[in-house]
Amino acid sequence: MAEAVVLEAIRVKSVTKSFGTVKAVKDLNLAVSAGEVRGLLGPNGSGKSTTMKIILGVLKPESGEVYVYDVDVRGRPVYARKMIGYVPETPYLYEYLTAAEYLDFVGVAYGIEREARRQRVNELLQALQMETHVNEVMSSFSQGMKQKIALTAALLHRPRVLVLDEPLNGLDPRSARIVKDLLHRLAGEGVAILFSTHVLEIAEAICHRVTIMNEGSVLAEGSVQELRSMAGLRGSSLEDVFLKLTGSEDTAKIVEALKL
Amino acid sequence: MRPALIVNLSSVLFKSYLRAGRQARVGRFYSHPKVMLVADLAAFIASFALLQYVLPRVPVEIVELMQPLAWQALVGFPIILTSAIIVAGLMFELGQTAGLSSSEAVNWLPVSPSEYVAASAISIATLYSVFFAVGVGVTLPLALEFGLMYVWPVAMLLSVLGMFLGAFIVEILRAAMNRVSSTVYGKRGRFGILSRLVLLVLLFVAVQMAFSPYILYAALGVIAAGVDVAWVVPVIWPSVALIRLIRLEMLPALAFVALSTAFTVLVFEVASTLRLRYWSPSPVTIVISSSAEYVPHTSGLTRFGFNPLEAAIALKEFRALVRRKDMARFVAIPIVLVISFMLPMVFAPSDSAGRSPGFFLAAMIPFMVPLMFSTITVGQEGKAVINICTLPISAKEFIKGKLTPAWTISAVVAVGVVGAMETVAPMGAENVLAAIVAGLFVILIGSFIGLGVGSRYPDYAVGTRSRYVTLKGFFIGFLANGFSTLAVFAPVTLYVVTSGGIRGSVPLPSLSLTAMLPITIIIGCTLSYLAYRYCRTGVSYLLSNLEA
Repeated sequence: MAEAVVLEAIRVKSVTKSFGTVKAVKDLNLAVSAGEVRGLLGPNGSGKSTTMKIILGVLKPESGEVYVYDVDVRGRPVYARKMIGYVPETPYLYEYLTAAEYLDFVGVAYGIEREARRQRVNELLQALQMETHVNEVMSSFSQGMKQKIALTAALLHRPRVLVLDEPLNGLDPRSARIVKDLLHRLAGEGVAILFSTHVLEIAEAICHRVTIMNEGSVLAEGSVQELRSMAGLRGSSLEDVFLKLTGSEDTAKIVEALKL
Repeated sequence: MRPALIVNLSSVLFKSYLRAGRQARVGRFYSHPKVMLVADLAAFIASFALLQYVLPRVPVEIVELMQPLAWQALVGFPIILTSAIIVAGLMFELGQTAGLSSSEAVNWLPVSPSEYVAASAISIATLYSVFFAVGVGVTLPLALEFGLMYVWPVAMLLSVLGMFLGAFIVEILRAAMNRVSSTVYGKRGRFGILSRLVLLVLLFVAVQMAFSPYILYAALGVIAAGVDVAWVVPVIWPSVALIRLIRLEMLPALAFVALSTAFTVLVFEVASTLRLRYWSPSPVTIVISSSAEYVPHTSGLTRFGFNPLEAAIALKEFRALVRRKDMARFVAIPIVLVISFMLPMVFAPSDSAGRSPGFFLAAMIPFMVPLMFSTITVGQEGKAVINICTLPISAKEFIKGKLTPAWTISAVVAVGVVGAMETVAPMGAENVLAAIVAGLFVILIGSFIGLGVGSRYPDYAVGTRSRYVTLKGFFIGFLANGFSTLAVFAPVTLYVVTSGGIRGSVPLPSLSLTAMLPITIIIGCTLSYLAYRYCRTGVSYLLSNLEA
């Protein structure tokens, strides 16, 4: 019987990246398949955002290779980016533009036709309850509103790969739920999703597999069940697994020491 | 009012002013308040030493002519300081992004409006204390030389009062601007944005002009001569007090000192009340269209050989120039440049004969304007630069889109100014052609150099008085473009000089335009190509090595 071919959407091979003397990413290997939601977890400064920027081709690693659907990101970054939708950790948007003007700009950049753009933007803005703010200058938007616009921009061109750096930051519960359901649906349609978050319940709920990073390296990788087994914590929450694997499980002592 | 809190808060505000908009590390010397003390001391010593050195060496007859000037300087110092602080404080405020001013933690701390106004005024006065230091250094030798030492200490005290008066007026203006922003931008959308740009540009031009040496000199004379009749204007009261003191009219002098102090206190009270009433820390919602529907638009630039992405970037850049208040100063610079150049012609029209003014402007505008706009175009993106870098955009598209505003504004200003000068001081059609050809090459080269430098040395700190390019980048761009401008203009300058001279006749064999213009074109093409290569390498590096 022929085996099902798993299409590799993102492939990171032995990537290393330093900023001055600090090694942000060390000999990193990562592969995300089409239709997979991969959670990228790790403490602050563990190299998650740097890894994502390397996948996008906006940061050049010192060594290693990065491919998006077999396109060498270092050699053909523009072509690779056409397949990717990205939401940065903090949505630094052009605050002097209206939401409509910004989405126009992004839509044009991805070569989306006028009518398709109108339909898609209105659809996404309605889903995220942003349609009434479409002609407002974004400088007065709250963090959640900016996040919704960043998400709309990332989904506009129906990307084959989604790189989302804490995409649910600042979203209200309804919008967060819509985004989670949307990610599930997109994965079902074959979109590969690399997703970083600090909210471990979300990772547990929506990720097929989880990669835990610490100090620029992959500490552990697998499904939540597999990670529990690795940590020897069967039946525990992902939070306990994460804290144990990253060596920061003794939080009770820290709280005790605060003597508040 | 709690004095300890005011001192503490003023120190915090001072540090934030000093460090705002810069990637200043706390450990760096220039980000510490003590830097102001050193700067003040250096400014005082330099100006004092200069005058002490110069005065004994000036012929007696000229020294006698300087006496009224010394008198004017001493009398005018308080009001000049008031205006300088108002201008500098206002410029600082206008350079701030809405985000920076609205994130002041003081808005949600238990600090009363009067405590805030007092602390803010102290920090503004400290920040611009260098004006005072220079004034002290200039007026002290003059007072010693002309026997005005009995007035000098009072003049200095009143000048400090003038500084605070200026700082309190800045606080009033800030509250008023906040109020105006809330009403105009909230209701008027596009019109509000446009009105703001026009107002800001006018303000910048007025401020720059106010510090032109020609106008300053004229103003000093007016203040000193007109004080007797203008005593009803409260801002002039410190100067009136000093005039009375010079005339040894002690009682009126004392009365005007008291009035000046009372007026400053009154302005402080008004500033506190206005802050209480009008200060709103949240940014205003600007609605561009009342429609709640998204209607896609495509830039009209696609009709001029731009692909949709290049056109979209160019449109975004134009919008940044028009909508961001921290960018208004850059829009004002071409206007300031032209007016600054015209001023001497107004004050001394006899000097403007011949071809020099138009020709000089034809080189100056293409040298300055495109370099400035292209150098800042990457840094002004701030952290939002990630939006562009993550798009599927090539270096060529980035360059074309980003440089369109620089090309358009520079070409319009350069051709317009040369054309206008042709009517004021005619150069002749041939010279106009030569100047325009050389000018357009310099625009092209300058913009490529600017973007090349801007992408290699961006300063992403967006905020107060951001420069959007590191100092190193600024100097590299300035020097490289300076040499390029000289090289491109050299052949046509030689033609202009030898064919009648900049100011008449020069004993040189005449060089023809038909020989010199092709040389300019060859140099222009070569340098344009080299500058483009430099620009493209820098942009390619930026797009794959984002460090913001």
